[in-house]
Amino acid sequence: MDCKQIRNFCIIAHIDHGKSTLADRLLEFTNTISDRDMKDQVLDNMELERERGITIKAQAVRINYKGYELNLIDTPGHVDFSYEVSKSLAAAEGALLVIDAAQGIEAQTMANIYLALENDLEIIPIINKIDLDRADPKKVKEQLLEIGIDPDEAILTSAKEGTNIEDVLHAVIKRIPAPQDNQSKPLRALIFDSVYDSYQGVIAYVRVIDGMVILNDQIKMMANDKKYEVDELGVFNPTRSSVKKLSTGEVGYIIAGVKDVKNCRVGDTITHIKNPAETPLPGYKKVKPMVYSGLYPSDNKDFNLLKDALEKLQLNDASLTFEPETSEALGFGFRCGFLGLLHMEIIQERLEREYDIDLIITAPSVIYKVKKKSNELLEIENPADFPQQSEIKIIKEPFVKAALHLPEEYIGPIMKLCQNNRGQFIDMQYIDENRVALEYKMPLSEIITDFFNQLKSKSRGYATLDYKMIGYQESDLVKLDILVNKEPVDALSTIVFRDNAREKGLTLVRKLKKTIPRQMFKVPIQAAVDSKILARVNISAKRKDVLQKCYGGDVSRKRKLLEKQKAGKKRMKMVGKVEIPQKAFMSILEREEDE
Amino acid sequence: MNRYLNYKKAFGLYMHIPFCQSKCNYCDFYSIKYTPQKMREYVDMLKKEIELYADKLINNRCRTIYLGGGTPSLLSPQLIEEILITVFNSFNVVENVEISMEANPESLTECKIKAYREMGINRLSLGIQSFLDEELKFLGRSHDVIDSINAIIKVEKHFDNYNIDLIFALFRQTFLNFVYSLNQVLDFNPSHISLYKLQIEDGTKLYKRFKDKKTNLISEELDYKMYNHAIKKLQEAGYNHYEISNFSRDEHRSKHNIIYWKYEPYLGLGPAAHGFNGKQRYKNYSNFRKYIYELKKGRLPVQDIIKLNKKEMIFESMFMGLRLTEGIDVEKFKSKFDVSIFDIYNNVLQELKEDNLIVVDKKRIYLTKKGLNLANLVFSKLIL
Repeated sequence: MDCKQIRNFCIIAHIDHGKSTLADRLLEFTNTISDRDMKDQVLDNMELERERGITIKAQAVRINYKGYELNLIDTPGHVDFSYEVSKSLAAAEGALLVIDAAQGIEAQTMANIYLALENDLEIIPIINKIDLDRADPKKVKEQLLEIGIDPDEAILTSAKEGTNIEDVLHAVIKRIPAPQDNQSKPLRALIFDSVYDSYQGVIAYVRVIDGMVILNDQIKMMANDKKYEVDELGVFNPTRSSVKKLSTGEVGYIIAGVKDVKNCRVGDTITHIKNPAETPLPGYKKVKPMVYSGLYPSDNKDFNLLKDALEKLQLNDASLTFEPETSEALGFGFRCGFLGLLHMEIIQERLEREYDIDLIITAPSVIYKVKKKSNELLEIENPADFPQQSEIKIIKEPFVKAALHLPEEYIGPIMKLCQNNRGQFIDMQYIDENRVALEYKMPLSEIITDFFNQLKSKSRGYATLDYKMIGYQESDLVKLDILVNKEPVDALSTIVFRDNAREKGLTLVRKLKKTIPRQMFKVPIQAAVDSKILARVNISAKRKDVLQKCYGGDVSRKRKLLEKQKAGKKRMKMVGKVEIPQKAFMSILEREEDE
Repeated sequence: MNRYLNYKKAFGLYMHIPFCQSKCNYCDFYSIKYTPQKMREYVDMLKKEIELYADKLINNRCRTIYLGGGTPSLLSPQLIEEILITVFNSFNVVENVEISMEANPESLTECKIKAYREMGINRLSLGIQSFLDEELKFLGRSHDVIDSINAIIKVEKHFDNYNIDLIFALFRQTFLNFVYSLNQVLDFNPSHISLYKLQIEDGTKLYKRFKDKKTNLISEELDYKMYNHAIKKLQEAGYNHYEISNFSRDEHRSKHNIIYWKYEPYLGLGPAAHGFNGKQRYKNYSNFRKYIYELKKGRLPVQDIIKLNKKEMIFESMFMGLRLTEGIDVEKFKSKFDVSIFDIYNNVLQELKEDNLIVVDKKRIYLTKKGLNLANLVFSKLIL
């Protein structure tokens, strides 16, 4: 196909603004998908994606319309996956910016708009959900003007009702530039996502930037020089269909016997072994996990099951890392690295749902950089591994720049929330007459606790958050230990800001008091820094647990009740003589409302 | 012959009368709304079931007779008598047999009470539950306190052995309210008192209301205080606390219920009843129509036979036996299971002893006061 007839575009939107519904309508309108196969969120294959209404993996669909080849690249929208988003954007020449006519522009949308502008994408603003009573397209247009996008170019749609879908398609053809014709240059194909297929290995989603790739070509990955032969080429319309070649400007997939997604990283460039490109496409980096937590099978017997499951998930997700670790309290498990909290939740949920493993998850942690008095440098992912306070010279922790968008009536509580989480105010600007953008510098560790939940609850769901790493800085931090019945429980240790240690300790022991059931004896729960006790509560002894009505002949039922009671205890972890339920290890995550 | 019919020892006989005027809010026993026609039909089928067993059992010695429900006292004395005559004609009933019957205050008249006593029923168990109208309403009982008092006064005249059921740990129940009901019971000085903690069972009306509070409607402390106050008070009044929830004057223990706790054989008749021959248990159909249908076809209405392995039997005999305050007889355990209790439970018994939950001596193993209160913990440690 002549480059002039090709248009490559993404859809960027905040969650729930109608991205997937608009994609559904485009596919329907162009008969890319028959009514019979149509289902909601057709591009979100994963059960989890459909349920949560989010996109985790990118998708690419070819739409044939009026002699044009339109490639729609559906991208994940969440901050955790911003690197993946940037690569999807780099694969396109234009983007549909979908904005909810009632909600307006959100923090994450802003982040993605900037990414799109950085990639020189032509942006087509789409004001969606105009069917809603609360829809206020005029206000959204003001917001667009505010951020430098021409509001007159906006298309008003209702993806739900199928209004003005044709206008969107015409705008894609008319306004988005065709790809540059670089047919004669050496091959450069950008990998913007990959999935693992148990029969064919890795399927790389690519955009051919320069040259062309033909079946049986000898190719290599430019990041690590691994060499392969192309077994299959194809496009999605929307299911996989193979083609003989992919040429400049086209979007499709390559299967080349790659066994491991680690060798087919997002952002890498594919070129030919003979006549290779001189330089790879810009912007490739190996994404590194930002958040770590310990994953333990609640039944120690499931350790190998967990290992297999993590290995399988990793086949599809090069950004997931895991290393075996041991905890005195929890036994054998893995320290896993994630891109962010959503990524962590997704992995946990998939392990429990798809692999049926009952998990205990420890509180998430960032990587701390510790310089000891001996000048030894440590990078610590697990609070339990912290050296003695007396050996530490400096601790550094990662900071982010957080952008928050919210209606102005919530400014007070949200600013207080940021300050309580060690946020340093940078800037505040009005996006329109009643929406505000706040900028704060904050430690990442504060954001990965339950900052997001609190943000949502304090703004009734109206505030949105985006953040960007800005590097490491020194902080006055201490390790807060939790002692249950006078024994320290390694899996409950956390790193906290020194001035907050007492308050956090008290909150934590109170929380544990609620989740740890009464034992036959009194159990003290203490929070300590450097073996100095900062807070203490007691769980009083269990006094009564007896089935008081027991006659009649159905003894089996009573036996089963007792057996069930015992089975429930199996899921508890014994720490010394105390049984601690799984949720106690998670309770550390949620913070009390600090009204 | 089916093994579950192989009774080696004399059995206790339980007959279920599945009729109620209305279902109580906490009850999960099988019951249906009563009509005179259904009761007539039912009694005929129950008689048939008795006769079928009489035919099939080699050993048909019967040690106790118990009419439970439901509400047996909804049946006229004449129908009850028909049932008992069939029992006596079919089984080899021991001399001076205990014949118990459950009754609710609203269904008792003096005339009925007298007739029950004269036909040979020698123990009545009264579902009194509380002496406060508000609490009775909460429980969904169809009688009020006046009905209860009238019924007890009449029962006293004719029965020297009768039981009063009392329930505690009701939603918002105060300690003083409980003490009030308990004192009322003591004023009547019945020969037997059953003291139950309200249990929220699946499928009951209370379950729907208190799903999230399945174990306790009152605090654990208050529950502990009520139960242990009652034990003390009843013992002071001369009652023998012989089972976790049961108290008796003199020798008026429930002989029939002791059969369950001592893990001895019983025959269960009627819909949803269970029977046990010492090795296997069976369960009758709980559907009334299915029960009738099977008997009309001349078959026993047994839905399921529950086979027990030795470990399950040992565990069951332990948690049933320890409910009795006299505990488990070490010698009897050995002769029943052919193995010493100390060989099976050595470490566990030691642990429980150290935690002051049980007393172990050469002859018996029994719960301490602490153990009575934490019996479920003790029992769950005995699972094999």
